[in-house]
Amino acid sequence: MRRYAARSVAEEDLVRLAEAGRWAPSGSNRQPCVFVVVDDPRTLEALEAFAPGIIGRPAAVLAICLDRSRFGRGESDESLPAMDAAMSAQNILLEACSMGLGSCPVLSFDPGSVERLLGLPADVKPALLIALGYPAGPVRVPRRRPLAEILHRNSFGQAFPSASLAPFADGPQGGGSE
Amino acid sequence: MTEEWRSGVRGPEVAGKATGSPEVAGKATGSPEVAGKATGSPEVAGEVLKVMAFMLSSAKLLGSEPKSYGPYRLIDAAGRLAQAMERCGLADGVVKALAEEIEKERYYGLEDEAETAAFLDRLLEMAVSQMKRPGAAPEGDKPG
Repeated sequence: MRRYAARSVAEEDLVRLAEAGRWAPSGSNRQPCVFVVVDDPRTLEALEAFAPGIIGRPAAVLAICLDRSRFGRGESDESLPAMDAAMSAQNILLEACSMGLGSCPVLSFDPGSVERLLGLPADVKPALLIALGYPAGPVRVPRRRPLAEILHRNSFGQAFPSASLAPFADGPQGGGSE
Repeated sequence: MTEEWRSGVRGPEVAGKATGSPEVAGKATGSPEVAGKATGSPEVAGEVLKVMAFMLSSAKLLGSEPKSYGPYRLIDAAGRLAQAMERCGLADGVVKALAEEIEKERYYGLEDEAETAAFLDRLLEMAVSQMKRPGAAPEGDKPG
């Protein structure tokens, strides 16, 4: 969702979104995710300049960052912390949807510029930005591959006949992104 | 990020170089009146800097992003530039029209190459029509 209404998001709602992110699972329960909420208009404008993936004018951006000081000693594989950030993001996206907010996860940003702009300490790196705001109008739900095409039973290629009866065959109403 | 950026002011010398020249403004808009409004404006310098930061960030990121993002980022940059010109009172009719056209499409993305090409043809036709108008470009700007 990228077309936002010119309406701010209440502070308590931003806190609620971060709370949803906080409860996401993480590898070994290390909880490496920290959040920076940007809702100051000047900082938002600057952030948009260094994050080409932010389309439109969101009311706020929630930056999910990874605190490397919480990684395992000697850990060099970034895939697990990336999963942690992604699971936290999904919690936030679902919570936003339940609150009537539109959202769009953004990975197209220059990390170094975002670090400096947000004043992140050396150990804290931005992982994903989530643009947030109230939709300016009806949301066009993008198409998804049919469930029957991607769902298999017991082994790849074995059909799951009832997949074609999935309740959201044409997409859930009011969700998704545009 | 420095306070210099936060304030949107890059110093009078930068603002002057970007906008203070009637020659530069005249080439861009063909209007001495508009050139006068732009002279020495820190707002213009701040707006230009934002568009430049967007383009430079895009240039850095596009090397590792899907190829289809390239045209979209350039279209988005053109739209951001047009909107910045509007905010500064520098946009003429065709720039406003281009901004509106880009604005209509930018939220949905351009899903295939043919659609993108047709969209760009429409935008380019608008631009070339304006540039062919008598007096739109100074003598020195004619292609050699």
